[in-house]
Amino acid sequence: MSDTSECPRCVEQATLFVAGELGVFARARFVAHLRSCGECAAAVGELREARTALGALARSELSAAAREQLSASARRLLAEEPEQKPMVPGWRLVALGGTLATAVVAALVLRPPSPLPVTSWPGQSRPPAVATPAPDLLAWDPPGDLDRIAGAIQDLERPRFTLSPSLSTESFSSRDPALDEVRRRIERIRQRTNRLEPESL
Amino acid sequence: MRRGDTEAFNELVDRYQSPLIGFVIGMCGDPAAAEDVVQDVFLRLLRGLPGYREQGRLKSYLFTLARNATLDLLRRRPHLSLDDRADGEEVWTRLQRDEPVAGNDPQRAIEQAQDRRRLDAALARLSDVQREVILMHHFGGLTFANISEITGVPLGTALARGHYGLRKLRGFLARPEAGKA
Repeated sequence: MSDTSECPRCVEQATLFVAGELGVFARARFVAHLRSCGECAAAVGELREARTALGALARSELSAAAREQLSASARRLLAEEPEQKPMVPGWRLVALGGTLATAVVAALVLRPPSPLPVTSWPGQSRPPAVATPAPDLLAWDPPGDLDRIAGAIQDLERPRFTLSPSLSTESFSSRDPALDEVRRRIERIRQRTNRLEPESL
Repeated sequence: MRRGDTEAFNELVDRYQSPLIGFVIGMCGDPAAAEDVVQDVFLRLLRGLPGYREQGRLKSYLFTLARNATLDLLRRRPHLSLDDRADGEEVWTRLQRDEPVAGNDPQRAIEQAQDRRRLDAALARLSDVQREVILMHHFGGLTFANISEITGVPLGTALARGHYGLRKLRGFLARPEAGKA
């Protein structure tokens, strides 16, 4: 056969088709093309025959002696090299970062009331994170603090980038289980406060 | 695989030695030389591991090493020829020594050996670039996209080499004497 083909699809598409490397749609298109192109159909037949014939090629392995020699060389090479500390896998770093971020957010939200007003980004500076342990929310609920915390949560939930119209702020903010938990606890405190302080007051 | 992990190295050798040996023997025709090349490939891999970034393409990397080592070998020893290979003669030798052959069916074993010999002869008549694409695809199971990266040619070129190489091979097998110089 000559190293030329009349049909522009014959060389690349037929080869990829026989090798099983065409995508689903390209494969369907080529199958449809095969019905009307004798050149491609003949090429596919020949390629398949050749691939089948290649199955007779011998499968070899390293001889036992060569394998032993390789193992010895590898052992020697490994023994010469200094022991290296295993690297921390990337996913562990990501998980650690996520845990730290959640801890910082929780510490920020649960910290005791500060004389400084709670501010939010963008465009405003945030107060430094406080390392003191977060108090139990149920232990203190002076009037006004709950609203302040709720406001802080709303600020935290505010997206820091523009979402496409198809994504709502609700779906974005509801992904953080730590904030959901804080929100539930505030709701419980509010209910308790309402019971203690009648609306007439 | 992590450096220092001998077990992992052995597993890696188990997994890739056969495709690599098949490829190198197909390229140079000398099983003994192919063993040397493949050992060298694995040791090069071991030495290069600190700089190797695992990207799920270890097989491509190994075939790149094997291809380069084979080309070096063929440059150093240009007398190596596919026609010199002894494939198929092993069966005759075993029969002459009254040793068992695969499957305990001498007739079948001889036919298989003859098939392999004809196939080897047909492969030897392909150009080097066609043969390397076909062998990488067959033994390594590499995609044509992988092969184009390893050989440093555009995908279309790799496909054309595989396409015309396979069709020529089929022609040589159908008419062994056709086109012989």
